[in-house]
Amino acid sequence: MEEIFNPQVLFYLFTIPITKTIISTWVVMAFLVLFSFVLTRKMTFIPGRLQNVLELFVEAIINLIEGMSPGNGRKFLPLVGTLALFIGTANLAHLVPGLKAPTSDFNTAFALALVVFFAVPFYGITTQGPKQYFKEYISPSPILLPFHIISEITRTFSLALRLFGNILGEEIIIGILFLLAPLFVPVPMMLFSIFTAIIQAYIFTILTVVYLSSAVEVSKH
Amino acid sequence: MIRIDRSIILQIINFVALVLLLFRFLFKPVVRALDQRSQFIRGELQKIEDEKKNLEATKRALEEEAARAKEKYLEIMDQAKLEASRIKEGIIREAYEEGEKIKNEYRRKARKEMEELLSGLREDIVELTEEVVKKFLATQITPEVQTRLIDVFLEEALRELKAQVEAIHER
Amino acid sequence: MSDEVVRVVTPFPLTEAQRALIQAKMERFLDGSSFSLQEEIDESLIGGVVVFVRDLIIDCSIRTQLEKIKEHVLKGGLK
Repeated sequence: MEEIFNPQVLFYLFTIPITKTIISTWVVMAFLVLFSFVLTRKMTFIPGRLQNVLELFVEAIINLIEGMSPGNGRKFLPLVGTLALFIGTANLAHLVPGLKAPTSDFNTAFALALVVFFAVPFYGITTQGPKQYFKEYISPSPILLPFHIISEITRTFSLALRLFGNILGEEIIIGILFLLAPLFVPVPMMLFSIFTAIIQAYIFTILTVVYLSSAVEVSKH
Repeated sequence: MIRIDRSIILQIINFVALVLLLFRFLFKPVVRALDQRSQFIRGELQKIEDEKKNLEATKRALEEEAARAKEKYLEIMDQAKLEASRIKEGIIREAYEEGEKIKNEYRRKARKEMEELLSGLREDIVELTEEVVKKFLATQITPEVQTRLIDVFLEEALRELKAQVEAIHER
Repeated sequence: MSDEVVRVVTPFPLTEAQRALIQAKMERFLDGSSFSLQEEIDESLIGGVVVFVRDLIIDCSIRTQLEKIKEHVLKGGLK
């Protein structure tokens, strides 16, 4: 059971434990970078089918951001787009034999949530300036400062745990189904896990956009 | 149960690296392609718009040209009509004058002929009358009448002559 | 002796009375100077007398009167 929550350490690299999660992450990363590199290397003016899918994805992300934070589509695109792509792909990684979904490791989910946690004040400060950004924490009253801070911390944990829990749960169910009735019984569950993977990636992404947009929004009061 | 170890640091580094890599190999080129395309489309639309404007301007110019031509045509027609009516009037007047001239000529000739005829007639009548009167008078002149004629007429004529001669002498 | 000749033209030969009448009138006209009458006949005169004396013609003939009337009629017309 311990193996499920904390994957086995394969070796140590500069005191950092290299687990199956890390290996899977690298595989996912390599896949994404290679895929992007190959597709964008020979972009044509009139897009082919794969290039069209890529462009549709990018446009969808830009539209998603523009819908909530008009004018910031281009600015948030690298972070938000990478989150969506990486989480979506990582969630599906467990379908590949020998790989583990990196997001079912709390270290990965929490790392992503931490990136969002730091990205929010980063974009807030670079957009509004530090004075204006930190004023948000003491408005409408300085009494609310602790609540603002607690809210930011808890939402980070909830972001990480939601993703980690859903994907890990999925993995465990599929694992148990494999133990009970191998071959055909887990297949519907695996198909369902594709749906879950995309939903979770979408939820994480859209919540990130919400946090970022509220950070860069110039307050009216 | 859930353990957070140092691999979280590696995962953060991994993610940031992925962001940078995807920015370089995915988002930048795709956004550029999208921009280029939308710019191209905007350009094409602008071209179409320009073309449309051009066509409209040409159409308007042609319509103006047509209107001008029509106006000119009407003007020429009016002028021609005026000219024609003037010429017609001229011809009519000339014909009338010519007719009048001929009429007057004939009237004059007729009058002259009539006068000639009348005067001839008059002369004839007078001659005839003279003959008749002469004949008649010849039968009326008796010696007594003759004597009386000499007495009265000669006396009268001589007196008149005398008066004239005296008037000349007195002057 | 008579110096002057007075020509008298009449349509008919003069009677004695007529000759005396002319003689008396001419004498008066010429203030008693002597003259002789030379008589001529011209039937075309119709009536009256024409006297030629010195360089004068005293025409008292009907023919001449008729001519005058004719002239007058032809010129003025009978209106």
